[in-house]
Amino acid sequence: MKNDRDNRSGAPRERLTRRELIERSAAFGAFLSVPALIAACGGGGGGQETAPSPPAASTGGAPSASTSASTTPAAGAPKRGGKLRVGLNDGGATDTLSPWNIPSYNSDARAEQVYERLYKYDANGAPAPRLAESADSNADATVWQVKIQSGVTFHDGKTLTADDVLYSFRYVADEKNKAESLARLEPIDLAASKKVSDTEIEFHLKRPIGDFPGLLSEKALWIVPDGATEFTKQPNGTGPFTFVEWQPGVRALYKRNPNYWQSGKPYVDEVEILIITDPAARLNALLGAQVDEITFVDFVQAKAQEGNAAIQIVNAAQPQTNPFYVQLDAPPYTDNRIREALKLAVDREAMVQKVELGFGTVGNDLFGKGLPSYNDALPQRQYDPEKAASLLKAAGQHPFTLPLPSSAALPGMLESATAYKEQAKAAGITVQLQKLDAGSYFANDKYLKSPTYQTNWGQSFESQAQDGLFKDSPYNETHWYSKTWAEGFRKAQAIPDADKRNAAYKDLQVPLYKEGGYVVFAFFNTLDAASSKVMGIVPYIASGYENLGGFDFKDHWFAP
Amino acid sequence: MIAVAQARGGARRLQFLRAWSARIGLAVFLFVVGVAFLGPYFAPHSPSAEPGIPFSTPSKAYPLGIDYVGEDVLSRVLFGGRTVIIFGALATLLAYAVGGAIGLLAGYSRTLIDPVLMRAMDVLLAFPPILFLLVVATTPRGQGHVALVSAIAVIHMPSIARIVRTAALETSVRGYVEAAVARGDRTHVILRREILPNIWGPVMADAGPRFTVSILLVAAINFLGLGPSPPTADWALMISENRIGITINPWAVVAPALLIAVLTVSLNVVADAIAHSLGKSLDVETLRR
Amino acid sequence: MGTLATTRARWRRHPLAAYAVRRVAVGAVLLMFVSMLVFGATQVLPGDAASAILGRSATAEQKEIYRKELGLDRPLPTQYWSWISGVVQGDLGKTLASRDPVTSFISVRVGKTLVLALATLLVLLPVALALGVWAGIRRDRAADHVISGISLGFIALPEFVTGTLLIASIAVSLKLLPPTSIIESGQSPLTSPRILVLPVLTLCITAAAYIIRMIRAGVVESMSSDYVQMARLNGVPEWRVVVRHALRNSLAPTVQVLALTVQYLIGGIVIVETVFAYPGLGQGLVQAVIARDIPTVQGVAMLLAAIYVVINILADFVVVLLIPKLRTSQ
Repeated sequence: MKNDRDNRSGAPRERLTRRELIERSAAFGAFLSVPALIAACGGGGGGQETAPSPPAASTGGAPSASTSASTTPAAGAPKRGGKLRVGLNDGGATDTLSPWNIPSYNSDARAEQVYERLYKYDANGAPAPRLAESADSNADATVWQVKIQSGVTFHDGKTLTADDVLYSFRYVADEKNKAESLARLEPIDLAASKKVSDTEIEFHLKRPIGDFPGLLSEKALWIVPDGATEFTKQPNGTGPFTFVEWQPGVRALYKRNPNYWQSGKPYVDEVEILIITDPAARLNALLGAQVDEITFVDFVQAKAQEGNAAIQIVNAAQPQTNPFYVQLDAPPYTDNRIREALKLAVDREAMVQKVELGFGTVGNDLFGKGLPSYNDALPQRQYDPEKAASLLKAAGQHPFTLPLPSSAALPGMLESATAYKEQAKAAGITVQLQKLDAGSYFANDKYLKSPTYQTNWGQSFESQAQDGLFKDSPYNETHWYSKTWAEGFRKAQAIPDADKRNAAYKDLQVPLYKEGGYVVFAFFNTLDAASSKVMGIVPYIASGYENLGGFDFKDHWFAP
Repeated sequence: MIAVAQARGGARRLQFLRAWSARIGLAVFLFVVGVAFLGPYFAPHSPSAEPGIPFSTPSKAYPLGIDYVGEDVLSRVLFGGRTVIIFGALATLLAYAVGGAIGLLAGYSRTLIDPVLMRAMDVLLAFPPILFLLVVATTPRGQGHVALVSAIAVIHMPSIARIVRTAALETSVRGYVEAAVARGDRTHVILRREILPNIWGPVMADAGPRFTVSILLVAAINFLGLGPSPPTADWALMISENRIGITINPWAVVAPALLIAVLTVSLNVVADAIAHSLGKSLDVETLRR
Repeated sequence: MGTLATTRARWRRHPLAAYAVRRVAVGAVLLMFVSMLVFGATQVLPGDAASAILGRSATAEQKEIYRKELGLDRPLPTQYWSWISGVVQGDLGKTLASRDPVTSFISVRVGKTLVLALATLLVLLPVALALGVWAGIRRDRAADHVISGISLGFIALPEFVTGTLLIASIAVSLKLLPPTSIIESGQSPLTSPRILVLPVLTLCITAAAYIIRMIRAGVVESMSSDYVQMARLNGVPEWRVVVRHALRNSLAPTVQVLALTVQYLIGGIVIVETVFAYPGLGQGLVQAVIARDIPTVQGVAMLLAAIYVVINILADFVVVLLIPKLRTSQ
């Protein structure tokens, strides 16, 4: 039941995200991701999160999350020293030093240097302990014991204690502080939650949450010192870098925190974040060695730089996709044979090769590929126009005409719709492409009303499901609704054990694969770039402000 | 009397063609307009078909290579002129219509309307054009075609109104106008028959540069990512869309830029010649952006 | 009263002073109307502003609190009045998100933009004036055709195309200069002037075209005037004709040209700063527009409009100074 509330409160924020997303990507030509709305109950990870504590798992030769990353594996031991200059794709007058609202990539990149959370999603999209050491739940996942690292100090010298953690959560939960993660704390009963010892907190929940570490990984749940109220003058956190200076929309400078709790880190002496909104200028700055790393390069830019040994493309297989969909209750799409035909009429491999220039992977009509909850055991649908044609004939709908609204709102969107038009011809399908205005694509009067549309998602299965597969989901695009399926989903959410929970999620994907309204033909990667001299960048597969290895610049170092 | 004035005007209208530069200019201008409006019939591919790998360099099948989404640059160039010319022309025409009306009203009225209108024009003149477009772009519907065309018209409007007002003031004290007034002709008749034909020349002399400025403003606002994004090919838009691949296939940027340049240069050569034949040098104010 | 009357009398005795006062007064009224227009035009739906700042998961209640804090729930005239009375006192309000004064947003950027503008003028004016005069004197000869033709071509080339071509050729291919003009902490455009070269060049190429055309037209006009013909008939050497008559009479138009150039730069810099990622006022304005940061847009727009108007007034005033007969006829 509580999930319904989540969804409702999620409505305005998701709509906003989409609008912002479209506006910004239209403005900068950058690839923006719909940030993974790992809502209170979503996410991966496990109930028995007894944390392995070699904390920095992502240095050097750590297992790469990306399938086709061209990131140079770190050779030898990391080296200290140097100034890391990073070109960020957004920023401006609306930036603030306060970490509680992060409406842009640069605001997240800046906050990640100074502040830390209890958990953070790792390169593989699972919550990994950061300031926390472990999190253990009771049998029904309503009480969670969180143990935090000892000996961690804030930049002003104060030692991190359980009081700081509780204060930080209560600060976020206080409406007047306008922190963006407020809604995510809704399942936590903060009045009942208490400090057990200096390094232990007992969180009481209002309902069972199987993936509590996922909740603790939520973007802006930073831990600040007990009693802190001023966040816009001298940011004070436990993070790897200390704040030096910044100019909104121009740059921000950070210095190495010599007392950082992860020994040996950070490697570089300084990090400077420079705002370069123009994509061409950003790449040029990297090529001209004016910066060492940049966020977001286009497929074509990446392709053109493939032979350039001076730079590396940080290729993160985040589950971004621009699927087509049909509404299950709108004739003739009520007939699953037609839906199946539409799925068989798309040449997925060609989409990856021609539209995404190989920077992506084929889809199998399900969301969140590569993440722990994704069902990859189902047979891969192939391009089969003959079978599609025969299905249409059987349904008495051959030749078939598919009206398909699309737009240049996101990279690869219009391109894939245009390609589909050609590919579907062989199945006797005429795609009537309707190009709509990019700026208002998700805010016009057609979206959610038109029985067919092209859309965008970048989330895990469970997160997308909550936003789009329930009766009262804010974006139930396909009008998917099944009472038994919804009940099954609620049950899966409460399972504390990560493997068992994910197994349940995978089962829930089978009917979607067989009868769902989405044609998820391909996923496209998030591409960043860096100088070949920079080592230790591990691509992150969770999407949403997770560029350049989750902006963990503490792990990056310069090759000698 | 009217007939004489018109005949004289007619002869003068073609006088500018005596200069060889004007003849070449006119020929080139007509050619580019021809490309823009007839080009689609000669395009080898659909402007939205995706035949190739983005930013491929020119080949036999694609003489200007491929653009940022994999479309044929040549076909898009052939399709992309119409919107540039139509939007530029619409904005310019709208500016002349509204600015002209305001100027006529102010120049002919001799009442309080005159100073009120002209001060209002001064307010608009106090905006740097790009700034004005940026301010418009922040408004809720400020990023559509209608907003853009109107905003550019508003940018031109004040100086047109000024010129028309001055010309109307001068003309209205001439004998034939006073005669018409004495005859008891109605105001709109006088405006149309006597005043308009006589201020036509000086007013239209700088239509060329204004058209240029209109096109360049559309291009600039598109570049800043704050313009409307037409679904079809557009020269101005092509420049900003393909800028990212200028080192890979420069033609995707250079070809539309060149066409805009040739279009506007030829237009200016013709406009220069017309202004010259009217014994008037171009008003520097109009060149201001 | 008495002092006012005598002051008035003194103005009457000094037509130049009277002219100046009148011009400034008109300018002030003009700016007031401009401020209304800026304010009115930027009244976007306040929900947008609140959403843009609070981030993706802000609730409707949070937005409402924010709107109240920003005073967006008050009637428009009240909002305008509190804004404009601040502007008059040099307080341009606060940026939406960081709640820093807009003036400090402007002050960290305005210096860099001034450096860019001044550097451009320094390079541009001598070159463009010389070429314009040369073309004017050599009217209809080869030099004129070449200069006029090329400048006509450059007028039709948008700054972002020129800039992009320069980056692609000089910076990326030849690696002679840095491709962007980003400024690291501890640096300034003056300590690393290399980053200025390409932006200045881009602005010069476009602006020079305008100036050359205007100067040429002025020189052509004075060279064909009666007194120049007379001087020639009197056997005055050609170079003296040029210096004495043509150039001196081109002085007033040149002042106008200077004013127009500065006004052009206000627009051109917005584009060029974006192309080169130069952290000046123009780039800041574009960022503010994209982020819908209304107070910043309003503040920067007012500042630029004010500069625009002031330059107009100054230019008019200097022209009146240079051409005495205009003093009385105005």
